[in-house]
Amino acid sequence: MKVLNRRTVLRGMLTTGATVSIGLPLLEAMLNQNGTALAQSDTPLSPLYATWFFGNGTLPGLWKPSATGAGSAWSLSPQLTPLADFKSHLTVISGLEGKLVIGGSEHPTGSAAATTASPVQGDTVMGPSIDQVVADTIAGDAPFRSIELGVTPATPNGNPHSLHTVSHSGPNNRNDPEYDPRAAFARLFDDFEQPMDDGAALQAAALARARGSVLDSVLKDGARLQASLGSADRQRVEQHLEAIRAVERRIDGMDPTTTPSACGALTAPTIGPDTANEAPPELNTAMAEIAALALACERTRVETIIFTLPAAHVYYRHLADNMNADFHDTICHTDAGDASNQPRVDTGVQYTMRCLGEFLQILSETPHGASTLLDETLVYVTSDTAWGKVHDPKEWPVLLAGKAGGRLRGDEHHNFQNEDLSRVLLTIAQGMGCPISEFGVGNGLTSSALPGIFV
Amino acid sequence: MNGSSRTFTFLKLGLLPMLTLGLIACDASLGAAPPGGDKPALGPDGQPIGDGDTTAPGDGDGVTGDGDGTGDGDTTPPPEFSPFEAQPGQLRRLTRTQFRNSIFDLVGTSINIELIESDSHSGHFSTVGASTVTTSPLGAEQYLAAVETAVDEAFADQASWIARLGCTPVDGDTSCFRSFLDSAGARAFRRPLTTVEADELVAVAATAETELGSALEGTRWGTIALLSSMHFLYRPELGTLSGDALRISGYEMATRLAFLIYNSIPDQALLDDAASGALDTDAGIVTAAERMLGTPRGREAVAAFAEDYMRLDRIFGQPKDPGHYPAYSAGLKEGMRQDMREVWAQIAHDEDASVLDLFSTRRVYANAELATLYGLDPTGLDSSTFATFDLPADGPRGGILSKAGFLSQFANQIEGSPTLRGKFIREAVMCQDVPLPPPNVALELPEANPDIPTTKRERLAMHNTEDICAHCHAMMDPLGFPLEQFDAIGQFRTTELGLTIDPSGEFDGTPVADAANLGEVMNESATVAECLVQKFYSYALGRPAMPTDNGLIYEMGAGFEVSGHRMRQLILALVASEAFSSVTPQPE
Repeated sequence: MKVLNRRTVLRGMLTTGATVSIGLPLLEAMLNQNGTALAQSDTPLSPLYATWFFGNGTLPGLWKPSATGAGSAWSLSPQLTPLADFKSHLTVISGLEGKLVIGGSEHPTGSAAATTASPVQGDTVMGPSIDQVVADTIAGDAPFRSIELGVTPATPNGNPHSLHTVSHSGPNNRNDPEYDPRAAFARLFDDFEQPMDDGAALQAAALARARGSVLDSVLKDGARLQASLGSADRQRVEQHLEAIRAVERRIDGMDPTTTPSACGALTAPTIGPDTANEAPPELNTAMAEIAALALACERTRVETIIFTLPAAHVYYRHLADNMNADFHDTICHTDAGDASNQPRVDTGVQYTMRCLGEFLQILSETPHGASTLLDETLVYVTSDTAWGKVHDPKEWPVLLAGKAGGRLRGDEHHNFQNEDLSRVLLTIAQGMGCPISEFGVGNGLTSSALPGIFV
Repeated sequence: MNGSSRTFTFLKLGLLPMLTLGLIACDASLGAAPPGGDKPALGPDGQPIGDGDTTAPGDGDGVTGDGDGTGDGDTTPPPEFSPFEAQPGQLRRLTRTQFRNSIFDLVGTSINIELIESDSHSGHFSTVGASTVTTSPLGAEQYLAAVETAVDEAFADQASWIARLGCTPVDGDTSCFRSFLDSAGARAFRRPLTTVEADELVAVAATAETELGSALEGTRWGTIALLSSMHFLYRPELGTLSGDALRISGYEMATRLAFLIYNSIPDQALLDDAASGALDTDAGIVTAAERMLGTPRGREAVAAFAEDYMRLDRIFGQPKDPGHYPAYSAGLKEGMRQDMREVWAQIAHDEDASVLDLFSTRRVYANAELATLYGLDPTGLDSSTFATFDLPADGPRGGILSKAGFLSQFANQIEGSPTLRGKFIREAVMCQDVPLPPPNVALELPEANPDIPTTKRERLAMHNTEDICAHCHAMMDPLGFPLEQFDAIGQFRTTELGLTIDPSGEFDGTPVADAANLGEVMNESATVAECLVQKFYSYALGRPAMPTDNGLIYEMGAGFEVSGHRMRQLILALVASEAFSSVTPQPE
């Protein structure tokens, strides 16, 4: 077995003021001789999953590759060119139509269509999002069932839940992203802090037991509350209790005196959240690094990274002098031009794809098992509309990046002209191994996966 | 105005004559609400306020007609309504503000609400979203962390911690913590703890004492457990049998009253009322509510409603372009929030004046940053020092809709939006739905000629040459145009791109000259008053109003008008109503 030097790979990766050093290389500590399984449990590593979402769509005329096929049969479109280094790992699916999109409410319904295949009723989506469905199958015993990260909180500020996140565990059940890299990092990796001389370790263990008794008490109190409730509210409390149990499991699993950590001593990022709603490159880098580390360190197997929210009122003023305008209101909606020619929209989409490219780059450089995170992961890239200017529901941007542990071949462009966007969600779920035959709610429900995508 | 049948049903109610008022005034639920509330008002800065001008406005009926012929006949019989139907018990999660207030009341430290999960504003109000929102895994962790931080801060000052406990913990003896649970624990759970509950929390304290070496540490972790409990964070209001029907129990009623009037947990007197059975009757409920409204915390009945109704939470997530708005700062944002809350509380609570006066008031409550924005002398003020001012009666800025805390919300980082401002007024203040825009509309404006600048109004007019757009924009833009004299952070301006701004507009068929005039017209509007009743009803009950609520809403609206649109009267009528005390079982 060739032992990759994970310490070398990760050091210097965190360019945002964070540095990292690895106490014990993952491969030695946790993999079996084939490099494919956790040594401790011999459980094969699942394929990993990420939704990578961006708001306001693309210019479909510049997004859609001109030819379909595999390998040299197809070429990257202008707006996919920033991903050129990863063409071998891209599966572009063009032609899909967001048939759940409701005129006048295009962004909330488009967000829901692309991630839940469910309609919006009142202010809520009516079904779980793809990341949560995939988590049902692959989250396993990972410390975090899923994590949600956001690069910028820029939002139109409406009430619909699907404007505020694209991860939903069900109706009225949002998983809002964390926008502060410091908080995201602390949540994922604070357990790994090991200050630990003997006295400190004993103190930490005592505190952990005090916390544990708090959690026990919360769980018992919650169970009594549930007993008085009807099924709907009982389920609401149950989800909260399950989150408490996950915290408890993480505390139980953290015994710094006996458990070596695969990720050793990490240094937290120092950059705070984007308070100007401009999705600056430093924040994309910080979140991409955290997202990759979370997968590499097996903190989670399912992620949602929201680069920009649906209908994001983001200001890319750092890109060019003429970009200091509301990307949704002003640039996408009111700039002159057609679906191939709105120059400022193109500037924003090109930047968005460069930021996605940075995430893919980090995944490609981070080993996982015998391969890399990019080989092991499926990254579902989509948006809340196809062409922001008129909210066109046709030619929805759908891109699968990564090889999902060999389940995707990569380097392909498939066209399914005017087919329902919902079908890609069923396709992904089945491709990730979910034992389901249909996906979606109401008019979004589909039992027909797209053929030929997965191996 | 097609496709908005839900609100039309209600709007028609408002056009019915107030002929039936005498009858309604004899209704027991309203008779329980005497006038009063004539205390001299003091602002939080301790200075007397108010100009005594509490003239009740006319009903403004003439401006709200929809032409359906139901409006003016003196002989129209009282409307027929579907009978009221009690609704299933709710499990509301404390809103972020309620969670913060409750923890402050219990341990005296304040959490940062931005560090806990967002409220759901499904149904506009956080209090409505609270009955359906589900806590995410991250949210669950955030509650735990917030509680631990708040208790740690309180615990850091051991003398005041012991004072709060009311006793000094002795190692090996849990009686001090038990007595704390008897008082603070009962407030946190809004009822006495059961033996099992108390024993469990005492066991947490005992574990911590063992692990960390002192009974004092035990009280810290026991308190963390108390405030992390589901029974603290969630409000089960499921009712108890009263005769053969369910009714909100005394302690549940104490909870409802406390969160409606204090926006926090009950005080001891309210728990005592629950224990004595005083909250088992409508009269007892009204007596308790009157007492609560007279306490300093009772201002929250109006202030917290205003904060939620006017969506002041949104101010803090709104950056502005620093090049255009160097004055925009954290202090200014907090000033905007306080200005709106306080002026509502002063007029509609402290002075018990007509809530419609808010639309024309010249009063502002400003810190240094906001005073500067309003063109006032900020001498003596800083970011956290506020004072009440009256703006000039002939000035351009009048009413809550010309406050920066409203204007800045409906604006992007650079420009204000007359359409979004008008949309909020139409939907939230007039309770009329604006139809969804048609699909696939190109929003592209005519090519801008840099040599011929245009105002936003002119650009919208170009946009609205197409009927498909003009129809709906006519419901929004004329309400927002008078506010065009205020920019994206609410600063007054007379020109845009060097062009004079035309601030004329229209409210519900009445032409208005500018923002101040808009406020004066709204001050006379029955539509606004009726909408406010509907909104308050939904806010207080934590659910959207339904057709079976229309009878009660109509009665409350009538009583509200007779009272001169006084919030105090509306609050008392609401808590005395069947809607506030009735409940049916949750569906299994």
